[in-house]
Amino acid sequence: MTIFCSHCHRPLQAEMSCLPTRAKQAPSASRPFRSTKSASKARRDQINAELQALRSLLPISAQEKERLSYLHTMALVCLRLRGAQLFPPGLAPPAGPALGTELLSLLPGFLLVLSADSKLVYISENVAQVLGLSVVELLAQGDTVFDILDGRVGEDVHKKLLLAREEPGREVTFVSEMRTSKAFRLQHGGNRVVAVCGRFVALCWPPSPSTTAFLALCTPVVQSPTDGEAASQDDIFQSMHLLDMTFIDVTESVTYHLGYHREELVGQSWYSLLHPEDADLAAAQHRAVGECQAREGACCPPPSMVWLMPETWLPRKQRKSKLSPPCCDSLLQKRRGREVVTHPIHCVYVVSKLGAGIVLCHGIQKRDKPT
Amino acid sequence: MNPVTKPATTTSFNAAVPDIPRKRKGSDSDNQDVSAVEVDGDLQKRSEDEEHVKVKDFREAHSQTEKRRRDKMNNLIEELSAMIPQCNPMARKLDKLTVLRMAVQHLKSLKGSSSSYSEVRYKPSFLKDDELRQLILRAADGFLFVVGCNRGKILFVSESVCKILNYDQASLIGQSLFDYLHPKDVAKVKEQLSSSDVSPREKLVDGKTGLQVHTDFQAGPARLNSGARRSFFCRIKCSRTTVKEEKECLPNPKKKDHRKYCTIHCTGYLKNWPPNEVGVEEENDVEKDSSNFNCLVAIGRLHPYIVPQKSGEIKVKATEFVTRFAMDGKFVYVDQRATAILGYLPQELLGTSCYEYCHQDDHNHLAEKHKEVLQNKEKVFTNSYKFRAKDGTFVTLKSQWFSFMNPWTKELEYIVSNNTVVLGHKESAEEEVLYSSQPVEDAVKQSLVSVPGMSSGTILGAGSIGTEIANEILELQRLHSSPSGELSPSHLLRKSPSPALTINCSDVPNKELVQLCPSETEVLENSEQTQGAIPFPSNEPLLSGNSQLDFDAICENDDTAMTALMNYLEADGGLGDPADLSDIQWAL
Repeated sequence: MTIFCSHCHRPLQAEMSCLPTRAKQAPSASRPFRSTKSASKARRDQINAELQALRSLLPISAQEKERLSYLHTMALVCLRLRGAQLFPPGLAPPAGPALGTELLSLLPGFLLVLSADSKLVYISENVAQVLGLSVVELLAQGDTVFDILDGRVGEDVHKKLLLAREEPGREVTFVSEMRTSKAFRLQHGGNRVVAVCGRFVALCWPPSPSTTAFLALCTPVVQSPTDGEAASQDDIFQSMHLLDMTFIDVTESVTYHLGYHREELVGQSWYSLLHPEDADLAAAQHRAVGECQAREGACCPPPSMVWLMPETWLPRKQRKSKLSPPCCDSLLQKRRGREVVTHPIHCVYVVSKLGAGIVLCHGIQKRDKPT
Repeated sequence: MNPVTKPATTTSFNAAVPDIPRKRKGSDSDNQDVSAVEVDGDLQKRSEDEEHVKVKDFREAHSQTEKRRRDKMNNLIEELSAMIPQCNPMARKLDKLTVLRMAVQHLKSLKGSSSSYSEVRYKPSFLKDDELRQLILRAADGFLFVVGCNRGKILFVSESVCKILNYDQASLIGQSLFDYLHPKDVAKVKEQLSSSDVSPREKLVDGKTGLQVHTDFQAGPARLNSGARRSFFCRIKCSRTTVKEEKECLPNPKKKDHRKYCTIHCTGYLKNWPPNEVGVEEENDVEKDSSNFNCLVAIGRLHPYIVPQKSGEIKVKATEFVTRFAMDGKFVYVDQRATAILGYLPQELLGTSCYEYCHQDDHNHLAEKHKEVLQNKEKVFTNSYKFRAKDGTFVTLKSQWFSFMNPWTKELEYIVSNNTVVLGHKESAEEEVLYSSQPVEDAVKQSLVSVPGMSSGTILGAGSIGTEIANEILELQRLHSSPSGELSPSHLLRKSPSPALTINCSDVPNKELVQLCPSETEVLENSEQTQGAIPFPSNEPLLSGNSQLDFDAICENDDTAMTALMNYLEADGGLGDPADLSDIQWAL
């Protein structure tokens, strides 16, 4: 005899119903509930079967499906459903070229979407290029953002997310280590440090809790050649200095990153651009370079972060430049025989994603000849 | 039999438990077999107790782990049920199996709705392509654009361009990108659009070794043809209004300063794409040449060099700010927090002397501290002093000063001042009776020129306090370092009353004040006069300390001399062309 559930009218096994079962309660229309070994096994099998069905429906590869534990499966299902809620069905997709995942490679990092209670809603697949772990692997520990962060930043992250939630639209940034694959850890000397920069946005109108999420771009703090974005000559800028760090020359790309024109900087002291917080550190580097013997050739302290203030922080009154580049060269030539001509200090700056003006200064070093 | 069912159900799912990394709290024995703790009969009796304890511990730990797993599972089930539409109407909590069944149904239905997407390209993913695209553009705060490589015609631009550049999406499509670029960037973008490999004009430097590399630096595993990737910065005009006339204005090179440009970081790739696939209507007069449908597909992101506010910090009214002074007390840097406290924008303060804002009563004590900080390497603390805010009231501050030296030249770069507001001492302007019009120092010429733009009540002539101090210190240094009995600053002051060469101090990082020999001064002055009037930059009395240039005294340090000269030449009202320099005899 097939028993139908009085509630949802689906066929039931003998001891089941879709109403909550208290072990001690007897469902109305079936035999008395008895927890026998076989009954438990049967139930387990059913649950297993459903889990298997869920696995097969996940949008992941077959190999990945095979290796999932039940908790892992559940985490992925929750992720899937949260993502599906972001864009309610029935909305017409915006016009335009059908592009999606190819665009991910154009970003400097991967996307991270969190719900109001810090649960993972979406991680873009290019996370594998940054952390070496696929989305599936990242969810192995759980489905909250704290399960992918490594390190003791929980407190800070909590606060920032709370702040972001209370002020939707306001951008917050936090920097944290994230779980990284073993191979990447070997390559980078540890877990990758990622800057997460995002805010709460309403993705559709009218806004509802399920379509409001924390949308963030996660970029590695230290770029490596294997990161997605193609480097270009614009991403870095370089400068040449006298031994006292006065600018002799600087590449044009400085305009993009700091706002100054090249001509404005020539003749300025490097220190006038340094943010007060970093002036001491930078001076220490400068001192280190100065102490290097010229004989040793290029002398190169390890790269460090330097905070150069963008032009909007140091407004300068409009003025015409009187010195053009050829004049600089002739000035240098005039000072024959002086060490400074043959050994300018060369700095290379890689712009960091942590904020405008924060640059990773590589290779503040003396060169053997002007380049 | 106690029907606490759970242990039975969960243990069977242990089979595929993934590696638990070290950081996981609690036991790390999750994967241990129970058999591993079987007591070996050969072990001695006394360790049996240990083993018993171990086994017990293990079992406890194990059951703890199991409990955690169960809890986790239950939490996930609960969450799942909250997300599945069918489960929501249920008043009471559903059992696990039912939730799972409903989840299966739900997933199936989701899959069903998205399979209408192109079958060929269907790749399972957590989000649909167009959803992902929206997320990408919002997260990156960017806009997507497609331009034809041939003529730079904008084939598509996403709606988000409105937010970033303030243009209407429709008004841009069909336009030429070059019409919107900064003139200096046109050539560069043309190059980027060309199909040939882009060769760097400026030498690239390998980040790790600092050595220059001459090859193209291509990054990343090739998802696309590596030669097809493009990444560059350019400046694009932003529209200030959405009025139609604006868009019809031809770019006028002379007026480029009035146009606002946004620096846009473009990352993209080249793609060969017949127009009908781009998804926009093509005009009829487009080239029928089907050989070149190359387009650049790129995301443009604003690359502002305006620092966003320090993220995450609760906004408290600042009570501290940092400033930097040149040797003579003129501001060369003002922290943005100062605006909230004092009311001035940084640019209003730059180049002016701090003494102009300080209450007269405090001048003496500040002057003393000023001298002190220039002569010591140590931090100097001021007492409280009053600083005039923009609205005329006084804010009481306390500062800590120290001299920041250039590690190479060992000379002063600037004086760093950490300023703290002393609360509870705000005084009104009424208490400030007439400010004295007597010269503070003898040698200072009083100027009664009213300075536009300065807040009323600024003490004229106060700026000279700083310059006098600077000069004193310099003279001390010179006396120590050079035997030459050259003209002292004050001598020069008395000697040449003509409008001389004032340097706008905001331009001069002020390493060293240098003096020209008198004969050279005249040469320069003459040439200056023929050039025309010199702008009178500030309320400084006519000859401030900055106007003196002396090369003689600093022979051994000609680096700084040269750089100082360069600074000088850079300033407002500077000399003529560099060619003039050849007329001057350098005493080098």
